[in-house]
Amino acid sequence: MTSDYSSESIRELYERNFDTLYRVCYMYMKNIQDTEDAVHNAFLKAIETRKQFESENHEKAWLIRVASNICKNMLKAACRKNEPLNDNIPDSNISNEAKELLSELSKLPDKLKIPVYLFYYDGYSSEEIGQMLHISSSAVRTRLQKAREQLRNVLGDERSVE
Amino acid sequence: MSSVMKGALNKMTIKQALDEINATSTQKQKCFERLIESTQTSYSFTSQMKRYVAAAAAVVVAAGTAGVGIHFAVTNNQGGPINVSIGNNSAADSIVTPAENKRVHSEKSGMTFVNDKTFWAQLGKITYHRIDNTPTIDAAQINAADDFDSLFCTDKQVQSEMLDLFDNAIDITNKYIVLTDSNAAVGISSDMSAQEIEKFKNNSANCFVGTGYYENERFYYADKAYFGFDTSEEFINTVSQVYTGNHSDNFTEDFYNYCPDYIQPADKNNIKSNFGINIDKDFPITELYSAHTQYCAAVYTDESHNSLILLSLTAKDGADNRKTFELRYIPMKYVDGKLRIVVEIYNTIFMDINAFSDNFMYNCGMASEIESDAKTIDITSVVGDSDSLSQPEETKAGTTVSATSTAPQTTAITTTTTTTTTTATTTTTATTTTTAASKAPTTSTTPRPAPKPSDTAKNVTLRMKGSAAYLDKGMLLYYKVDKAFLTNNEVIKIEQLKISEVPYINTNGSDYTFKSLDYGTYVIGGPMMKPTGDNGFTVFTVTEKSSNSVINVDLTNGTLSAGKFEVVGETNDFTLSDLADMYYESMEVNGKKYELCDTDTTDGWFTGAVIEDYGKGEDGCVRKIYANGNGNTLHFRINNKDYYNISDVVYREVSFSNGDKTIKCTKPYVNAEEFRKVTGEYAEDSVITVTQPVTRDNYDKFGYISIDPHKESCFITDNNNKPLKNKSLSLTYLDELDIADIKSGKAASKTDKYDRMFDIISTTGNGAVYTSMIQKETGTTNIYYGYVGAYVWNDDTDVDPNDDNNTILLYQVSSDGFKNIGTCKYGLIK
Repeated sequence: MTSDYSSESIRELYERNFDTLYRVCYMYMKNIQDTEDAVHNAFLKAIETRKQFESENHEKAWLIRVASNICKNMLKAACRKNEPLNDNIPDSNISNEAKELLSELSKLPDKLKIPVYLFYYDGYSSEEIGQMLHISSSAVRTRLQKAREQLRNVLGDERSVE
Repeated sequence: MSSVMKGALNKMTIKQALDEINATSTQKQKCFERLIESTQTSYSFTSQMKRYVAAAAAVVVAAGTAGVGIHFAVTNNQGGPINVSIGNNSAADSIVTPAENKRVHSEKSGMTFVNDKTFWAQLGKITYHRIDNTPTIDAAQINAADDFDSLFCTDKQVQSEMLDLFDNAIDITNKYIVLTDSNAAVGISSDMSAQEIEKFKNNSANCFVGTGYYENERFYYADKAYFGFDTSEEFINTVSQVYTGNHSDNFTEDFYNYCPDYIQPADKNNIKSNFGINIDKDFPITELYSAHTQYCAAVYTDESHNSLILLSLTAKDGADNRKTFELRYIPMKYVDGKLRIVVEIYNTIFMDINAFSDNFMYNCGMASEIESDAKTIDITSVVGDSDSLSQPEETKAGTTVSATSTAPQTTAITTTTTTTTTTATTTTTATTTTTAASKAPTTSTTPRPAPKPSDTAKNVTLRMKGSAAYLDKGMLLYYKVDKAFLTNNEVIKIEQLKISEVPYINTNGSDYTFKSLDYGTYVIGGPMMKPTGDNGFTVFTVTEKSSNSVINVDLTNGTLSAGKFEVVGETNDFTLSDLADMYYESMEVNGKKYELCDTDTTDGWFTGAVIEDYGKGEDGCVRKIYANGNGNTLHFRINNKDYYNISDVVYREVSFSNGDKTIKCTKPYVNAEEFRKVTGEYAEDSVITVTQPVTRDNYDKFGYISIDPHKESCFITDNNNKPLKNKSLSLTYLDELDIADIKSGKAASKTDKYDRMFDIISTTGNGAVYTSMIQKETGTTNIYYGYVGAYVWNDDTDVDPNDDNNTILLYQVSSDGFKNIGTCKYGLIK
C-alpha cells in the first residue's frame, strides 16, 4: 500500500479506520474530546511517518497499536500532571448499561482489551487477531479467556462477555 | 456494581455496548478536517511535542580527507548561543568546551572515522531492493509508557520529559527485535566464543546505526569528540543550557539556530557547501537521499548503565527540499567507556528508503541472510578498524553481490582488515538500468575472495536429556574450550558481569540445532555456568562429521569437574534507586527493604511484587523477583538476555509470559541458582504472574465438602490413621504457603483473609463428620478444598485451647475427604 498520502488517500485511510480507532480510543479515554485527540494523533502519526502497510489488516493493526499507545501515553501524562482521570463514561448518547460494560472493558489490561475488541466487535478470528498482533492464535485465545474471566468476576454472568 | 445493574448488563453483549460508541457524522467530518489541516501545517514534526529539555545538535560530516568536521551548537537559557564546533568548519564559532576545535578524525578508543571520500561515494551509489519485513518491525513496536519506564536518567525530571517526548513523538520500534540471522548479517554468530564476541564489539565500538524503523537510518559515529559529551551527566549539563521551555511552534525555527551552519545555508540560502561531505556540492542537493545526507543528533547515554537510550534529532535535507527533524531512539550500551552498537537487534541496517518510495533505494544496506534480495555491506570493515582507512577503497566497502537477482546466495565476506565475517544473502538490482535477473549490478564491487576451507559444521543438532529443569524451557550456556582444558588444571573464570556474553541455547524442551558451529570442544552448563548434573559439566565435540547430524548429550552425565568454571565478581551494579520512578512503596524481604513495583497502573496490573537487580551482564540484568503474599502480577519489561530468578515464592505458580511463550516455575522454594536467562523469545513486553495463593476466597472455585447436620458426610482420622470418634474439631483454613511454611518450621504466613478456627465440626462414634457448630441450626456448611488445620477438643482435660504447644492436625481437603498430612503446633498457625 502506498505510503505517500494524498488528501484522497488520507480520506480513504480515515474512512477505513476511523470507527475502529474511535472505539478503541474511547475504551481508554472514556470521553469524546480525548478520544478525538487520540484518534487524530494516531492518524497523524501514520501520515507523518508515511507508514507503509502491506494490507488493510496490517494497517488496522498498526493504527490500533499506535492509538492505544497514544491513549496510554495521554493517560500517563495526565497522571504525571496529577490531572484527575475520568473513570466514568459520561456521554449521554450511551446507555447506562453500555457505560457500565464499557467501563469494565476499559479496565481490562491492554493485552486483553485489544483482542477483545477485535474478536467480539470486529469479528476477527483468533488466528486473524494473532496475525494482526503478531502473537500466536493460542495466545489470543488465552487473552480472550483471561478477559472473559475478569469480566465474569465483575459482571458475574457468562452472557455479559459474549 | 449493584445486582440490579448486573442483571441489566447480562442482557448486553460487548458488541452491543461498543456499538453505542459512535461518532456523529459531523464529529467525524470535523475530525477529518482537523487531520487534513494538521497534515498540511505540521507534516514534518510531531505537533504534540510540547517541551524540550534535551536537545543538542551535532553533525558528523564525513568527506574527503580535508573535509571532516563536526559542529555542535546549542543555545543557552539566556538566549545566547553556545556553539561548539569540531573540525574545519569555517562557519563554526567555537565558544565552549568540552569539544575543542579539532579534527574529527579520531583514532582514539579504537574508533575510526571514515573519511574516505571514495568509500562514501560508492556507498551512495549502491542500490538495493526493498527488504520488506514490515510485519516483524511492527511486531516489536514498543510503547514507551510500557517499556521505557526504566529509562535511566540521572535527572528524573529529564527522564520524565524525555518520556513525554518519546511518548508523543516517536514510533519506538525494533529495540527488542531479535532475528535469528541478524547476527550473521553483521558478522557475528551465536556460537562465537566470548572472546570473539568481545573482539567484535571492540571492532564495532563507537559506531552506531540508525533505528530499525523503516526510514531515515543513518550511520552515526559516537565519540565525545563529536558530541562534546558522552555521559549522561555531561549531556544533561549541556542540554540544560539549551532548552528552557521552547514551544513546539517555535522549535523548527529555533532548531535552525542550533543546527550547524552548513545545514542552514543548504536550506535557507541555497548556497554551496564549503565543508563536510557535501563539500563543493550545490545546494539544494539535487540527488535524493544518499550516504551524503547529513544529520544532527542529540545523544543521551549513561555510562553507568548498559541499557541506553539514544535520542537522536535528525535533520536532513534532500531532493524534495523538505526539512524534517525526527526524534529517534537508538538503544546503545556503554562498554568499557565506549559506546557500542547493539548490533544483534537489527536485521537491516540501511541509510534510507523513504525518499525512494518507488524503488526503495538503500544507500547502505545490511540485511540478514534470510532475506533473498538484499546486498550486504560489511560495516565492520568500515567502522571497526582504523587500519581500513589505509586500505584500498574496494576492500572497505566489502560489497559483494550475487550474479543473479533471484537466487539467494550466501557469501562469506572476509575483510582484509578484520577477522569479522559477514554472512548474508546478497542480491542487488540497479535502480534503473539493471532489472533483468541475470544482469550484473552497476555497483562497483569487490571480487569475491576464494572461499576459505570450512571449519564449521552446519545444522548441528544437540539432542539432550537430563533434568527437566534444564530441558523444559531452560537455558543452557556453552563454552568452547581447548581440548587440553578437559584434562589440565586450568579454571576458566567468567565475570558475572559478562556471563550474559557466554553463548547460550534455549532448550525449550526439545532439540536445539545450531545452524553452524565451529569444530571443537564445548562445555555445556546451566544458568550462570553451573553444572547440569551432579558429576559436573557435560562436554560435546563438533567435528566435520557433525554437519547435519545429531549429537546426543546427557546433561546429567557430566565428565568435567564442576570447578572448571567459576563465575566471579560482585554484581550489584543496578540498584533499585536507579529505578526510582518505577516504585512507590516498599516492602521488606528477608529483612531487606525493597521498593514495590508498579509499572503499569493504567492497565490495572496488580502491584505487589518487586524486582531486585541482582547483577548485570553486558547484555542484560540479573534479577530476582520477590512477590509478597498479596502480589499476583508484576508487569514489566524483560530485556533480552536478562536472567531472572524467582525467590521467596513458595508454592505459588510463577510464570514469565510473552505472547504464547511462558516459563512456569511451580516448584516450591525456587532456588537462587535457578536463574533463567531470558532470550529473545521472552523479550519485549512481559508479564510475571504470581498466582494468587489459594485462600478461602477462592476455594470455592475448586469445590468443597458439604457437611450436613443430618447425615454423615465423610470420615476423618488422626495422624495415626485412627478415626476421630465423638470429637469436636476447630478448623482453620490454611493455604499452600502456610503448609510450605509449616513444613519448613516457620509460622504460617497467613493473612487476614483466612478465618481462624472458623468452624467446629463434630464426628460420630465411628469417626464420620456429621455436623458443624455454626451451621447446625441453619443447614449445611461447606469445608472448601484446600488445607485446614484442626484442633481436637479434648473434653476430658482442661487444656487451654490457645496453648501454642497444642497439636494441630493438618488435613488436605478434597473430594476424597479429609486427608491427614501431618501435624504442627498451634503456635505455627495461630
